[in-house]
Formats: sequence, structure tokens, C-alpha cells
Amino acid sequence: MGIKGAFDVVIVGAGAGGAAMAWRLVTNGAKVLLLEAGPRFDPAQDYPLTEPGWERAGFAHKPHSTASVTYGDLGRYDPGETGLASWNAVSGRIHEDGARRPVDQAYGHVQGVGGTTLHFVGEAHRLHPDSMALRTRFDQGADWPLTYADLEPYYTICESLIGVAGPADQGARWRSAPFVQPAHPLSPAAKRLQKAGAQLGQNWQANSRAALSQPRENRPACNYCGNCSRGCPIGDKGSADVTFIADAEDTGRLVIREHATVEKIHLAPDGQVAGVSYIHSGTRTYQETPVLVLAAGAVQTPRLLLASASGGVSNSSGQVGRNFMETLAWTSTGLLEGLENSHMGLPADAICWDYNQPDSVSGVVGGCRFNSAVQEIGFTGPIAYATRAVPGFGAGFKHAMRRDFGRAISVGAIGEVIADARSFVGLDPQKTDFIGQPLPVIHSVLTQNSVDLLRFMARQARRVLAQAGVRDLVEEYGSYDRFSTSHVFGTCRMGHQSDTSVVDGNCRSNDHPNLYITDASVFASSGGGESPSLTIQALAVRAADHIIS
Amino acid sequence: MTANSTIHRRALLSGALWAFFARNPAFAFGQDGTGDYDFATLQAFVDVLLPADALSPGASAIGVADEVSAIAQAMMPFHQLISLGVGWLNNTGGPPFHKLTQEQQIRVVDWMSRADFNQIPRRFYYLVRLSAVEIYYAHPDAQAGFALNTAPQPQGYPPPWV
Repeated sequence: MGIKGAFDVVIVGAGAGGAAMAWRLVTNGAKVLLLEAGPRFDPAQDYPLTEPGWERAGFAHKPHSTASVTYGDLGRYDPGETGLASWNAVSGRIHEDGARRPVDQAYGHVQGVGGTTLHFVGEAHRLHPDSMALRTRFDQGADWPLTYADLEPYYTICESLIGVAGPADQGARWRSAPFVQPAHPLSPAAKRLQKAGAQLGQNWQANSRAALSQPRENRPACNYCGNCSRGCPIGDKGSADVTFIADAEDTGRLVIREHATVEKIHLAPDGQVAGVSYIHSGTRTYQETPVLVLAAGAVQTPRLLLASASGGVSNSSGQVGRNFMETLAWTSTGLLEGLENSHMGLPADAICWDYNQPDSVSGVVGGCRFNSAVQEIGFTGPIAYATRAVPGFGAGFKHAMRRDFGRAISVGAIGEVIADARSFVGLDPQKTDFIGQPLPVIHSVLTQNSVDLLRFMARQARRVLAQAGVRDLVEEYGSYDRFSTSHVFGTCRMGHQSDTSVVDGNCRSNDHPNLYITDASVFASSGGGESPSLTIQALAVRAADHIIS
Repeated sequence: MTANSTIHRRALLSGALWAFFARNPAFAFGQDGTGDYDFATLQAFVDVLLPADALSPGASAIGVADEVSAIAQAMMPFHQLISLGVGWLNNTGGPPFHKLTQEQQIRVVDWMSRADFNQIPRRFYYLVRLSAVEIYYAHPDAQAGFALNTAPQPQGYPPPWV
């Protein structure tokens, strides 16, 4: 089957970048086809937070909602380095054999209308301006071909649409307009961390969050159930489906095709993209397009480019799939006597940016951030306590469970990853997906810079918890022995030079003028722990304006 | 980056079983542990883990042993481990575990909880406990005494917070 000329733009992927791109295009009069490999989720039906037994379910799984990947070299660690080991009070050391492993069996992203924003916690961060010039300043990593000032108006547009809530003081992240909603109140655990941080001379403040602190249009305010990552059934969380997608569909100019798996990008003899072929309900369809936008994420976008032609599409630089940057993360948790109800409140509601600037940690290139993490990592119900924090059995165990529930307090940290030649996404030589296309294989190895930064993150997390009054920790985990895919970047990076990058500062392919990429694969650097969705969206809206112009 | 879902815990369960049987291949492929097991002993074991008290029922009263068995039905290595563990519990030198006094049962389980992780008693204790507490604390009757709604929505937990 072939379709000609029905749309001005075809977008692959309905996550943060694809949704924002679609919204900007259709609200400017374009007709857009959005191809999404996953399903559409119905928040009222699919998210389990209204049912007894809710804690046993993670984010909902539906047909095609999880992408398949394989793992190559994830590096090794020293089992004797106990200070960076993942462990908890119930299971002890999680791994001890020296081989770094993925956190779960599957790549942790969501395929579906809304993409990974459906289960994200909903931090709405702008990049630190200094994070965008690592090569110039430190002779490491890569520079972005645009500045914070170039992106700032687009951050403001996206924050306004989403309804981001946050405090006025944003340090180096200067703003042309205030947040559209007031900051959320700090939860019991976050208040303790803020106080402890102040005693240590640190500034812990309300985080900027894609969750409504006040009702807005047809969305209610957050009621602080603490379980954003299981899917928000009431719609206050600003996931892409209830913001960009909903507004875009209201125009009548957006067509979304769910369960549409793109198999190949087709090129015309003149080097332009001619169209894409995709499988939908078992039928292969060829779709012509004047403009193609890829927004399938930092793993699936390079996979599609590499699988579409010998040597890959848009790969004259050889950089497609290279420069993969994983999530460098650490979390420490303790039980704090006197703390109650730490399961209540908004996840990641408090943040400390003091070490976010890329030169703020001695001996390391790249910064990091710290946040209150207790709800984010799942200490919102008794099962988490019983399986991770409270050991033992019998009457004493049940008593301890009632005593300790609500006392968990956690500091999470995420840090900069500098791109390394050993970390990349390629094509699996043997395994294929259900349409016969090769699966992506992820290789990701920690550099010494990452290990040094991770050690700093762990030390600081423990220091804040100790200052808060935590005597004994009950759980720690991090990237030293566990590979994490919460935020991944860099596999089609943008740059000034076409021989070292895949797209330019407008997210436009260096090789094919009607091909754009608007997901985290274009990030030239990871940032110092900022969550990427808002930057992806700002880049996408900016790229849409370039297409429109 | 939640590490708190049934999928994650099943992965943990599978990994621990795989590691155990890789270290102890004779158990994996031998005659022991492949047949039925004494369900009364499994019930007694989960009731030692999670006994009834003034606020909440014991584990077997809300179906924990039944659901552990159902998980084992679908996961042969877990079934093998339960068969081996229940067999061990019933052969500690006296009567079967479920006929021991409560004090005796507690002493046995306490020993299991501190035994070598790579031997059957401790691995059985760890993995059956992991499944049992998940099943137990998912039940509303087990949550008495916790500052929890039956489910987080639709009420949520609006401020002010203590």
C-alpha cells in the first residue's frame, strides 16, 4: 500500500519530542501524521492507582509498549569497591560478580502516545548554560551549536503549555518569564532534607515540576499521591499525551497512527528523504513525506537510521549511534526516627543545584544534582519497605513494618556523563524484532570521570542524610554496578561541524535537508543531572519553527 | 527509576533462582524437588513469617500460601526450590514442620534466616519471604495500622502533612 501527499510532515515517535513537534506544526496550519510504535494509554483505565494491590503493579504494560533491546559491553566493576555497591537491608549486595547489569530486563522507556513522559516523574528542567560548552571550556565532550539564550524562549513556550510549577529563583538558568504556576509544597521528607542541607550550607529548594499546583483548564491540581511514575490517572502530571498531544488533536490536523512500527527510511536519488515504510495491523504501508522528523529516542532513532541503509542514513559522519551517554545515578535511603508520612507528597519535590555547574566538583568534569527521592524510588507502600528496607520475620517484623512505614528518606543524585568511544548503540547481528528488523544493542562503559563523580554523589547523599539524623542506611544503589536507562543521550548529536555530528543546531540532518531529529539523541552533552524532557520539547518546538520558516 | 514493581521482583526472584541452581546443579536436575510438596508446611512457614496479630490476619488466612504456590506453578525453578525447602523443613529431626510447636517453628525459621545464602534453607527463606510479603502487604486487610489509603487514588494525600 502507498500513500501520497496527504501530510506536510511525518513524525516517528509520539514521546516528548514528537508530541511537541506535532503540536507546534499543527497549530501553525500544517497537516501531520504521527507514527507511534506503541499503543494509546487510557489513564483512567490503564493506571492501577485506584485499586487495592496497586503497589504490585509498575507502569502498565500493553502490547508493543516496551521496546526490545540487547546489551553488549556494559563494563565491569571492582566487587571490592563496597562504597559504590548496590545493596539493601533485605537482600544484601545486589550483585557481586563484577559484571555491570541493566536495572531491569527491558529497556526502561515506554512506547506509546506520550512516550516515556507517561511514566516519568515529571521534573521540568532547563539545562545549565555552562553545560552546553564542555568542549570549549574543558576540552572534553562536545559543544552544543546553540546557546541557552537561543533555547530560552522555547523553554518558556513549553513550560506555559505544560503548566510547570516552580520557584522564582533559578540561579544561572535565567528566565524571561516566571513559572506559570507556584511551586509545590515540600513533602515531609523533603523538608527534612532542606533543613539538613541548610545546616551544611547547601540550598535545597522546590523543584520545577511538570505537575499542576493549581487547577488549569480541564486538568485538576495534583493531590500528592506520590506515584507519578506509575502513571497519573487524574491528569495533573504534564505528560505529553494530556498537553501537547491533546492540544494538537484539537486542531483536527493531526493524525496519530498507533501500533505503527517504522521499518525503513527511503531516500530519493537527490539525497532527500522520500518517505517511510511502516507495519500497521500486519500491513506494510509506504508513506511519502515532504519532511520527516525522527523522535523515537536515543536508542530507537539511531537503530532506525542504521537499519535503513547500508552504512546508515544520515551517517556520513559515522556518528550515528556513537557518543551514547547513560544515566549516572546514585540513591541512598535511610529510616529516620520521628519522620512520618514520607510517602505523601510530590516525588522529586526538592532539589539541590549547588553542584550542577560543570566545574563545581573538584577533579571532575561535569556537575550533578541532588533531590529528595523517597517517592520516586517507590517507598510509597508497604511492599517496598518489606522487600527492601525492613528485614526479618514474625511478630517483630510486623511491628517494625508499622513503626517504620513513612520513615524512609532518600537522596537521589544524577550526574554528567562525558561521551566515550566505548559507549554506543549499534545493530544486533542476530536478534530481530517482530517485523524482522535488527534490535539495537547498547554498549555503555563508565569512565574514570564518571566513577569519580559517582563517588562524590554517594558521599554527598550520605552526608545530607546523616545531617538529617539518619543513623543507619537501609538501601543504596547506583551506576557503579547497575546500568540505567532513565535518561539516555547523544547518539545523533548536534554540532557545528558536519564531520563530527549528525544534525545541526536546528535539529536538521547534515546529510538530508528534509530530515529532522527531535529527541535526546541530539544532545551534545548530558547536562549535570537535569531531566531532559523539557529540553527535548524546547528543541522540538524550535526545530518546528525552522521547518515552518 | 523505580525498583518497586512485581516485574522487578520477579526478575530478582529469577536471578536468585538461576544463581542458586547454577551453583548447585545437582539440585536442579536431580530427582528431589520436582514433585509435589507438603502444602500444610508451606502454609505453616508463611504464617511464621507473617503471623496474625491484633490488627491483621496471618498470611495463610488471606491466601498467601496459595498464591506462592501459583507463582511456583508458573516458574519451575521456584517450584523446585519450594519442594526442596519444604522437604528440608519436614526433615529437621522431629515431626513435620507444620506439627512443630510455634516456638520450635520460630527457632527453625530464625536459623534459616541466618544460614548460608547458597544453601537451600536460606535461599528458600529469602525467596519465599520475598514473594510472601509482596502478596501479603498488597492485601487491604494486612495494611491495618499503616497511614495508608487502600489505594493512592482518587483521594491522594493532600497537605498539610504531619
